[in-house]
Amino acid sequence: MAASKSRGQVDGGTIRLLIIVLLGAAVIAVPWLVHNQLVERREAVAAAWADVESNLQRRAELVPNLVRSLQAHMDYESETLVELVHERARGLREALNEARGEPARLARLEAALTHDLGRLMSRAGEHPELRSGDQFLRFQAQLEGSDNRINVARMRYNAAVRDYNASLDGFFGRWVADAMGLEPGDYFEAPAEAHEPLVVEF
Amino acid sequence: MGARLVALLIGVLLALAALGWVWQSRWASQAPPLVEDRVGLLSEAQRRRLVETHRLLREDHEIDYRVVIDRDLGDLDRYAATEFRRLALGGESGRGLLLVLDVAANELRLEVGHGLEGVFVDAFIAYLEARQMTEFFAAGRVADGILASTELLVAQAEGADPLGSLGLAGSGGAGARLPARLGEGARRPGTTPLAGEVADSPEAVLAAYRQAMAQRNDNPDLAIYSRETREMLASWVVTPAQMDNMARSLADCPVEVRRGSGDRVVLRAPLSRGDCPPYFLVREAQAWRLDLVAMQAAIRFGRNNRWRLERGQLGAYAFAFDDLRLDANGYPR
Repeated sequence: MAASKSRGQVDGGTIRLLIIVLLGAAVIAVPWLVHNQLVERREAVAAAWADVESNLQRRAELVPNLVRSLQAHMDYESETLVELVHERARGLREALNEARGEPARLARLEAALTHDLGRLMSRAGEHPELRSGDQFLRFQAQLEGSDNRINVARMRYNAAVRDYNASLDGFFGRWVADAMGLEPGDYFEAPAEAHEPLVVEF
Repeated sequence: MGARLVALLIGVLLALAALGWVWQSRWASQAPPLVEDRVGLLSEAQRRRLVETHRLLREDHEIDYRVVIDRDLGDLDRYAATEFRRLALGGESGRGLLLVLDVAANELRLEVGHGLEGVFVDAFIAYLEARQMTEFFAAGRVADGILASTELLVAQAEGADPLGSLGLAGSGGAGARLPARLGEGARRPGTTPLAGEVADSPEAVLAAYRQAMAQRNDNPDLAIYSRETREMLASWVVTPAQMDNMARSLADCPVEVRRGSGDRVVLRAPLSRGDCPPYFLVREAQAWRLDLVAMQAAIRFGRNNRWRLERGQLGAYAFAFDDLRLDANGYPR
């Protein structure tokens, strides 16, 4: 009878031990889970950034060929603009080699290149013989395609940064991030007209 | 006891099977449709025709091609990229295409998955939209425009390097966005005559046709067309892409056999070139002329892009094929 009673009941000491074990597990598990989430989101940011960089590289490499093809149809007055676009593309290429992980600077360079390319395409579009055939359509599609790829990569990168930064801002996130020395991610965006100054020598 | 247990087990199994069936049918009904017309632009018959074509495209070429027609979609580039990801088009291989048509903005975008970027480059997609699809849209024939551009997609996919189609899931913004030209009205056909004289032989007429197509001369009244052909072409939408395609096909197809009888001639390419159709010519007003009406009725192309004969439609041209052995579907053996 006494043996069956002791089998059916749990004494206070066991409950206390259980609570201590559970609390101990939570103290270990919560930072561990937060750490894992932060690492995962930081990796997502890095992957999204790699995508942005490869699309910027693609754009910077596309421009010289495209401008060379357009140049055949451009007049003398457009030479300055052609040279400017060349320099912008070169600047972006160099920055990609130097400025790994500097989204703000790359965003400014990319915005400047896009702006001047837009002017160049608009000037090229004024030539009726170029506009009437498929060549202009092809140039436009290539440029807009590269532009859109950058926009999609930018959108996904900024979403990844937003998620990552939100994790850092949480109570446990801040605590774990401080311990790991993690910094918030930078968004890939350039304020309007924030073009990096460029000196072009002719 | 044993019998009751067996009955219980059978009951449980039947209940599980019924649950599985219900779940599967619900899943199937919720699977994203191949053609989603949210504004009722297409008739039910047109929608079904598109669905069937896209189903065959998936079966034959493993290309997952969806269409969404809606209004006020906002930034179409962004919408297409987001929707492509949401629908997980093309699965793990990324062999997906998403055509989005915003009728309010009068814009369209064909988004290309990573797995097809090497096959359908941006410039090709822009060409397909501008020189084929929207030509039909302008004439108010949206379903025909989508179907006609699918033909170009198939031709491009068949000529593609299989290694170029290796890819990742999703899309990264490849494709092109252009004005949809809805309600613009069909382009008026040109009136440019043929460049130079055409010698009085069927071969010379075919060469002149190739030249006209290469120059995108869509004048339906060219002297190389028979009277019935001119009437037919006057009411047709002939797109620049169709003419380019025709010029390429003619340049690539040598004439090997000439079969004639009275005032009719058929020029045939080698039978090994199943993609090169025979050309029908008729003598009218003391000159050889292309009889595209008779060709249209008698020649069909299968899913494999090989021509076959509609034997009942050969009419006065039947003599030109009496040396061929045809299979049950009309394909030359």
